[in-house]
Amino acid sequence: MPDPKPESWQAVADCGSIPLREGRRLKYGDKELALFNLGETYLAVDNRCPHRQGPLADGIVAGNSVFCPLHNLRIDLQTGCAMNGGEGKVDCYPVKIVDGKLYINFPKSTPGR
Amino acid sequence: MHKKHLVVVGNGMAGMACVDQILKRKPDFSITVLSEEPHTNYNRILLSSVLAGEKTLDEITINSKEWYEQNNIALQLGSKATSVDAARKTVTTSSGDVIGYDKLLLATGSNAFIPPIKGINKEGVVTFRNLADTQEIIKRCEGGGRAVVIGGGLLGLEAARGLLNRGMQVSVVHITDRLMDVQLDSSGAEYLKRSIEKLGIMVLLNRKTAEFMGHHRVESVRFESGEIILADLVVVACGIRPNTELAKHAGLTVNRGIVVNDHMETSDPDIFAVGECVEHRSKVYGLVAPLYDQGKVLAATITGNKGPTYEGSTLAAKLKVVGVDVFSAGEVQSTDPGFETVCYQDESAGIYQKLVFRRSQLVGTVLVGNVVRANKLLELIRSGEPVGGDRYLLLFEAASANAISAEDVMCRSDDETICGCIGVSKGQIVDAIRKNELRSMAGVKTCTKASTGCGTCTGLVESILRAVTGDAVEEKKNQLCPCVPFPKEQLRTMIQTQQLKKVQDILEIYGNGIGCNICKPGLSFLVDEVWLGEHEEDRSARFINDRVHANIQRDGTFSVVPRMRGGVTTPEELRKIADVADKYKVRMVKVTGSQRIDLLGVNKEDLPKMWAELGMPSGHAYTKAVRMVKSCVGTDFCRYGTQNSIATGIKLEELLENLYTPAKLKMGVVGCPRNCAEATVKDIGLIGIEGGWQVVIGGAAGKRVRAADLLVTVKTTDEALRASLLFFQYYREHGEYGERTYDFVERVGLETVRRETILASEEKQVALLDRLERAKAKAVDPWSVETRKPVHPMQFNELVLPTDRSALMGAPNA
Ligand SMILES: Cc1cc2nc3c(=O)[nH]c(=O)nc-3n(C[C@H](O)[C@H](O)[C@H](O)COP(=O)(O)OP(=O)(O)OC[C@H]3O[C@@H](n4cnc5c(N)ncnc54)[C@H](O)[C@@H]3O)c2cc1C
Ligand code: HEM
Ligand code: SF4
Repeated sequence: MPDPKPESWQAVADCGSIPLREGRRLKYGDKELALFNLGETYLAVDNRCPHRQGPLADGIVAGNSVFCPLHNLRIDLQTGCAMNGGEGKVDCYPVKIVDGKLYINFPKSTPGR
Repeated sequence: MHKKHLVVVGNGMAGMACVDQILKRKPDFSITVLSEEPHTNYNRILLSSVLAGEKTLDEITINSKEWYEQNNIALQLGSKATSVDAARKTVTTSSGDVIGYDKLLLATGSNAFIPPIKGINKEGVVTFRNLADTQEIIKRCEGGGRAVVIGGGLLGLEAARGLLNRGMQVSVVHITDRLMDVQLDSSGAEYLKRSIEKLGIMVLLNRKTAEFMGHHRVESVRFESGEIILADLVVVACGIRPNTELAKHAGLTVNRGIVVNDHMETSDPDIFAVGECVEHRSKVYGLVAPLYDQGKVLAATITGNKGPTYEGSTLAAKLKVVGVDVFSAGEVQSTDPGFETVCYQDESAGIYQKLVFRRSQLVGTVLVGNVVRANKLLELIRSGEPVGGDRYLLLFEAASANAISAEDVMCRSDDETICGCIGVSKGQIVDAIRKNELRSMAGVKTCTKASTGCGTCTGLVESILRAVTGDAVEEKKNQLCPCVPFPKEQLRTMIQTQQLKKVQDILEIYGNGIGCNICKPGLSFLVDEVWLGEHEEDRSARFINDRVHANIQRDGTFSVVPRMRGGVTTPEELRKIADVADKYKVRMVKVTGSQRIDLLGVNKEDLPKMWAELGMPSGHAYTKAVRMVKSCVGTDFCRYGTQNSIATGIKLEELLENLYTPAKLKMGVVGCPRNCAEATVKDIGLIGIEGGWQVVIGGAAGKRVRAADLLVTVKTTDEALRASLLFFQYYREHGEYGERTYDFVERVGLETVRRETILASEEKQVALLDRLERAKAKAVDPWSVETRKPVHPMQFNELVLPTDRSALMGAPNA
């Protein structure tokens, strides 16, 4: 991954705020993200399922994917793509950990608060 | 002008139905009815229901006294016609009155046949024909004991069922080698015997009764073989004999019954006869449908509109025993060469169905275990319409009302919505199957989401899948899911022997290490159930509802349903609910179908605060667990109540609340068989009856409607609760994850359930109850525990950006 521009990284939470293999919602401007603690990594995607806008942060995690809690569409958290022949895609956001804090790299166009 | 006088002898079903028809023709008659029985006309058929405690006398009355008055009918109750003088056209009654008639209608019905058995007049030996008999039987059941029914026909079996409901230990004795031998063939009778035995009734075939023994009262029954069985009560149901005494006396032609022609005229031009006392074209009928047809014809003839004719009826009989479906119509046991039969049987399901054809016409049918097609088949028999094509389809449809043929599915339009919950059309499903080369229901579900809602459309979607793939559908394996490819029973053992207490451990040792939305909640239930609550809870393996103890809604908000045991609440609780609803601005306050209140549109973060302020326990409306006990007001308030349904409902809910189950579990307790809180469509239902309770199981009114099966009838509330707990724990241990009791009971069979619960050895029963008690001791109200001590500090929280703007905007010192 090319080095992101320093100013686009945002500190969003402590690592400990998300239980293992669960997700949590994060509101950022007019965006809603879902952050997941997968043990070795943390991943972030848009929170709303492409099928019927279910909150992915509340889904059951399976490996690097999550099942939407409303109708079980499975989303790959690394690519944002629906799996198993489902349709749709969510945006993904790079995440990194520094000093126990989670940082997310928002695209430049994203307005701050 | 002088009105003609019509005298009717007999105030029974056929007689009054006929009078009703006569009145419709606005006749120029004054009418007198002589009734030997001291009541107005009642529905004799429902005496079985009265005996079973399902109906009261009020409910089976057909015509009130006012009806007779309004129609200017002089009704003489308790007045028996003792003789007829046909020459002088008079009737004499038991009180000595002599009544003149212009027209006489005999509707004297039948009497119970009393076989010449020694000791038949002993006290405690009764027949089952009229209301007085029924009341006597009910009275004699009060002390409980052993009841023996002589006669295994329709009447005998219905009597046996009633006696069982009244808490008696019941045996049915039958003289030949098969029950209901008039209506059934030998296979049908065998199936029937099994389901009767499953109810807990003993069936003794090939027994000729020789004597009723006892000093004054009957104490035992001796058969010709010498065998003796004990009896506190004997009900004789050996058939009926047309009541023709009066007709013979009047000089009418009488064979077995009073002979009538197609216009329902007897050998005397001014005397008519209708009902069970009649013989028409050498046939005597013992069921009401033909008698009503006779009555219509008679009404035309007697009012001077002679013309319509009665030409005989096709007999159809249905056994009115809850849980035992039997239907028979037309020719059923003919072995003549001209007859052909088509049969379907499923031994473990207890289904036997037979069609009898003559040439291309359906002439008879026997249905045991599933009678959904009874009306359709009867119509076909009566119409005599030729049946072309595959005759077995008549039965196939009968056996499975839900299965739809491939052709039928493919004829539907592509736009037709198949899955109403998710909104998926047939075209979308077909496309997905073709495009992705799907071969399993799981595949169709993932790709289209069809059939992932309430599941009602599963049968349809399966049919589409079969139609498109040409039957190349993968077999369902008895495994929880492909992530842990082991049969469910084996998983249970592995969890036990390997001491696995955590879902993730099971996945890592026996599975793919990842799991999915199906196996994770399933395994969570299993470890909880196997370790009686002493497992290691991993919330990430739970569905969101179980992580936060609330029901996720379509917009991602949640709902809060506090427990209201038995559906009983107080003004204080209601005030608190109202305050909380106001304070948290819930979007809707809704009374649920489960007799409690739902606060909808709640944010996850507000859940623990709302629970704390409500101070009420969780109603578990969001999970596979004990939901609730619905109750009716019972003896506390209801004028019909026979049992204290409120206290019992609350007790039952307290005994089982906070426990998790393979699928949601709903219960109901009602004070009498009127069943106001719908206990017969609950997973466990208690139905109050005079002097006891019926415990019913496996009922549902969800995506499928299934009437609950009777588990047992008991006398005390404690026994009823114990039976409920036994079944509850047995289901907890043997139900498959996601399997409702109605599927469970059908899968393992009612007989097995009985054998393993109420009929199991005392040791086994105690062990079941002990495991339940241990699990219950560990079970807690999640709301009160987790508001104080959440499983994770962030259990109910979402992430919030740090308020210090510079910290969040600044580049990390990496
Ligand atoms: C428990 C039970 C369950 C049944 N279940 C079914 C069922 O499910 N389906 C079905 O089709 N049929 C059923 N039957 C049969 C059905 O009830 C009868 O076919 C029907 O009642 C016959 O009608 P009826 O008017 O001919 O005779 P009844 O209804 O017997 O009426 C005759 C009346 O005449 C009176 N009477 C007789 N002699 C005299 C006299 N000399 N003077 C004055 N009054 C007199 C009798 O007391 C009686 O009240 C059942 C019967 C019983 C007993
Ligand atoms: C996501 C969809 C659903 C949600 C959120 C939901 C929620 C609820 C809730 C909260 C209750 C009240 C429960 C209580 O008080 O314990 C309830 C009751 C009930 N639900 Fe659902 N339900 C859903 C789907 C269904 C479906 C698909 C069916 C049937 C096919 C169904 C059948 C019933 C019935 C019959 C009751 C009444 C229970 C009774 O009186 O015994 N529900 N539901
Ligand atoms: S079911 Fe309950 S409320 Fe209904 S009539 Fe019976 S006792 Fe009364």
